[in-house]
Amino acid sequence: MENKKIFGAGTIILAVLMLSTVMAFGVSSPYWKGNPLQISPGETKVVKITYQNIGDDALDLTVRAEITKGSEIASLNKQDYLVRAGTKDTTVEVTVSMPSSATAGSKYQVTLTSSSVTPGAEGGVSLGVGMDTTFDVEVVPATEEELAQETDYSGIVIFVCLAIIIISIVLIVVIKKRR
Amino acid sequence: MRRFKKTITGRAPSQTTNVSVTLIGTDPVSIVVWNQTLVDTEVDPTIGNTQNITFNVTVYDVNGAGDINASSVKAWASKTDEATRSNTTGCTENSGEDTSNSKNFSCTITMWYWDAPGAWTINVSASDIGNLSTNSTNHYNFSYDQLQSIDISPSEVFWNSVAIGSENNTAGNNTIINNSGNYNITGNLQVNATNLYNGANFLDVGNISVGLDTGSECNGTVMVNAENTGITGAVLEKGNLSEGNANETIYYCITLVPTTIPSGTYDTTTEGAWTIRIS
Repeated sequence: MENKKIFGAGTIILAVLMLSTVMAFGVSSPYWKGNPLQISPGETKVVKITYQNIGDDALDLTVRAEITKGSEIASLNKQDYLVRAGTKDTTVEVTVSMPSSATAGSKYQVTLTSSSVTPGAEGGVSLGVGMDTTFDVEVVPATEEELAQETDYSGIVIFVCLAIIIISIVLIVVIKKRR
Repeated sequence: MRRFKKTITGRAPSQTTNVSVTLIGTDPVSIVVWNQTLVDTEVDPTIGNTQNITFNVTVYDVNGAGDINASSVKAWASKTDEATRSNTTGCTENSGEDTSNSKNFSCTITMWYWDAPGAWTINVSASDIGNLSTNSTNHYNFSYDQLQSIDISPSEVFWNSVAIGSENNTAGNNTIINNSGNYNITGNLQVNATNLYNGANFLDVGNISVGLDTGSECNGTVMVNAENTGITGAVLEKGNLSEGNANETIYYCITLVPTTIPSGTYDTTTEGAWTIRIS
């Protein structure tokens, strides 16, 4: 019965000397399941998601962010975020880029997984917080304004190319005449 | 022949008098809400607290700005199945911004963390001095963001000494989880637990269960190392924490301390903290 001893060689201990109080963490998002981000084929949009760390005894938190669903259309420019105690304005920018080949009406989902990076407590079990923030993405036809912008942009590119060609021809002619 | 008697008195034959006439109009006021100023963090709920939504309103009256009852302008926000949120003190006139036919006001509506995400209608009313009518508009709205948020307390779990080979050792404390946002966590509460190490030896978290009622934790949900394990039966609707809503307590149990591990201190320093999470 040696392994039944309470305070002897046959015991394990998972105790911490001091318990901390409240850990509060929140993620706010302008889009969610049922409230989709609408985006056109070929378009890129940045979704601003905000971290909050507010509580009576809040401590600074490091939060690790990761796209765990929809990474074919969504990306982050940063992985770790320092969320200061008492703040609600740490912004995570999720860039959503819809391929030009996407068809209007198709739907995607993007999940941002956020987890506090919490060191393990010596002698016990420390707890962190985390959450999956999932939002729908709906592909919609490009608006006339967007199409017009694309057209305008194409026109500028063509104009610049033509200008370069004409200037080159003129330069060549001038140089030849001087010779 | 008639005779006139001249009498000289001290009374002046004429004098100037200030006369003011207030003209009141018969046309009602009209209202414009400048809701496009509501962007980004202004419409984010705040963890466990209120969030003021502030916007500008212009009240017009073709009969002149003087015909607008400046103390009558009120604003409130409404959404189906949600409590109406209003400003109890009315909107404040922005001094120095009057035109001949309008007055500007600043309105603040106090929203709560558990108020549902989505489109909220802005309602504004204002009264006319002349015809005593009150006009209102509900043609404007704002989108209140979703807030997923939990508070956990305390942020550690401990067991007192437990014997190797013993069964059903309840932890020395539990974890209170508050839903401090407006996201429905019911069915979405998970614990990501990792094995507890003592050097190269470890206590597999498959020997640890989590329950929602004291006394039943040893028959609760069994943890799986480094996996997001859903806590069956957790109810964490959004709600007012001050009224005892939107909270859940989870209890921990080491159902079996394996005889294959040596005595010592087992903790999370090797694998990192466990995570209480929302899916």
